[in-house]
Amino acid sequence: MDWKQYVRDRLPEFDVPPLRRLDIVEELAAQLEATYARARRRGATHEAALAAADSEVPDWSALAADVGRIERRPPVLPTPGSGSGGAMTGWLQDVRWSTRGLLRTPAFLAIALATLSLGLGIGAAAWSIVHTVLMRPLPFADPHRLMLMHATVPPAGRETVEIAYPDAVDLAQQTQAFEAIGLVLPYAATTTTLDPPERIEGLSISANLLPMLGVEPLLGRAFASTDGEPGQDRVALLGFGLWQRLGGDASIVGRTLTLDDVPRTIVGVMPQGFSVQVFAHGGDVNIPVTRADGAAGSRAFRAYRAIARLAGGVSIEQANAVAATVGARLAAAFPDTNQGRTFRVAPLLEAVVADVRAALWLLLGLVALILAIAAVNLANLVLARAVSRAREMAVRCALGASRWRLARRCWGQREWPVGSSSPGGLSTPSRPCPACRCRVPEKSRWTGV
Amino acid sequence: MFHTYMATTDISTRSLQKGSAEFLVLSLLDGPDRHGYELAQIIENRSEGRLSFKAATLYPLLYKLEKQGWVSGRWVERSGERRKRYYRLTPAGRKVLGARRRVWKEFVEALDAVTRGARFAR
Repeated sequence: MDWKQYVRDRLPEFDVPPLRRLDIVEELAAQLEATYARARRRGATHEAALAAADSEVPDWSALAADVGRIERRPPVLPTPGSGSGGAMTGWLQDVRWSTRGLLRTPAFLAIALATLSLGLGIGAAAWSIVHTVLMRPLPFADPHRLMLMHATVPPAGRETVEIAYPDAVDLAQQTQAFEAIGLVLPYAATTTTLDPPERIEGLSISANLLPMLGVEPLLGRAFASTDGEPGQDRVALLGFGLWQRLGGDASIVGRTLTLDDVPRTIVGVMPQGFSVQVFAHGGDVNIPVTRADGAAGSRAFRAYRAIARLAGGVSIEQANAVAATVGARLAAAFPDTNQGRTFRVAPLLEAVVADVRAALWLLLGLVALILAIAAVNLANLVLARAVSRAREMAVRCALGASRWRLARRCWGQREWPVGSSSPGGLSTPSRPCPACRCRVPEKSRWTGV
Repeated sequence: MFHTYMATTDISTRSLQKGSAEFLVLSLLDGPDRHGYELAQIIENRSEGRLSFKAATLYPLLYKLEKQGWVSGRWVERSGERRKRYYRLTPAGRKVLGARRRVWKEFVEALDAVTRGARFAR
């Protein structure tokens, strides 16, 4: 039995849009059909069941009048904040609609999420590495004024960062371009203070280095200028790690650390993570550069790194001009060791990351390319999906949906995967591989990646 | 309480019937979504046949509640079944239901107080 036709035959015309009337007819037909079926299940004859269904609406004209009166009423607009309508509700509806639509196509959703998560994850990891290694300022005071001294070595003009102690002293004393020049030399020794004895690595540093970098010890004091003098050079500054291994006792200052059978007085402890950045060298201990050291006095012993702080208002070009002048003067004065040697400075940060700069920018470029490919792939997916739904959009448009609303819904379905994949992508482990780490001269640059 | 109620609420029979019908429907929709026939069946079953909502009463009421923004309807299709229109309570409807519950509770308490007083006065 066609119950819709049954209702259509009985329900008088009333003032209601055609589509709405179809809905009402269908709903009433469903009710009458259910009543009829229920009566039949209870053993009623066809006629009795039909009468039961008919009793659902004793007066079709009255029903049409009632419904017509209700349908003519303007809808009650919800008050702002009531949560039952308004702009925000429209947004929530769109979000729900978009979510349902995406959940109905799990393959599309999975591919979109995987594509974006992978792209964003790789991109975030690469950017994190590049930013931390190449762009993060050095952890020193006024890091932009810190330079690493370079020397040009004859006859091929090869450039090196290995400087002789007396050359650095002359560069500091004969010009006003540098506020200070500090020296660093790798150092290693066996300590018997640890049980069993152990080979530890550290640095031999000039007394002015730490004040120049603006670094203060965690405990005790930095080296004094007299600590490099003969008889007063048996002092040591512990690295944070070695201090912890020795018990981490705050009263360790003043105790003795034996290095290569030479007892040295511990004058302080360096803060955690301290590194002068120019050596991929352990930071267990620091000892002072000894003025009386025979090697320190030779211009032929070129093993120091010289870190210079530009004087205020002096540019790199001006400092280079002055360094070249001093270099020429030293070459004339000490032709045996300095003939053809010139000096120049370059920002310390550039020197620290020089070996990996090109590789990291290349990495970032490749990752950007991967991200672009991921985005294009997703755009293709979304486009294919949109084409397949053109008919649906046309129907929605014909039923009165505004272009803005349709655009908003399409936008919602595109943005949903982006929003969902972002946390996953950005939480992708972004620690660099050990092979990447070993390319950087100073491992502390990876801290915070 | 009683005076306030009497002063603000019309308790004529028609008003009570009308108000109670809305209250019943809103209450039944405070839970899972239900279609019209299901609402009628629940009312009839739970009242053990004493209350009966025919289509001529139920659907104008549902349309009115929908127009007021207290309920919302949506068509649901299931395989092998005729599609049905399910109704659910909107946030505004939930607020109205809460207010109605308070009024009915006060009304019942007021009736109870009056009738109990009359019994003791005999």
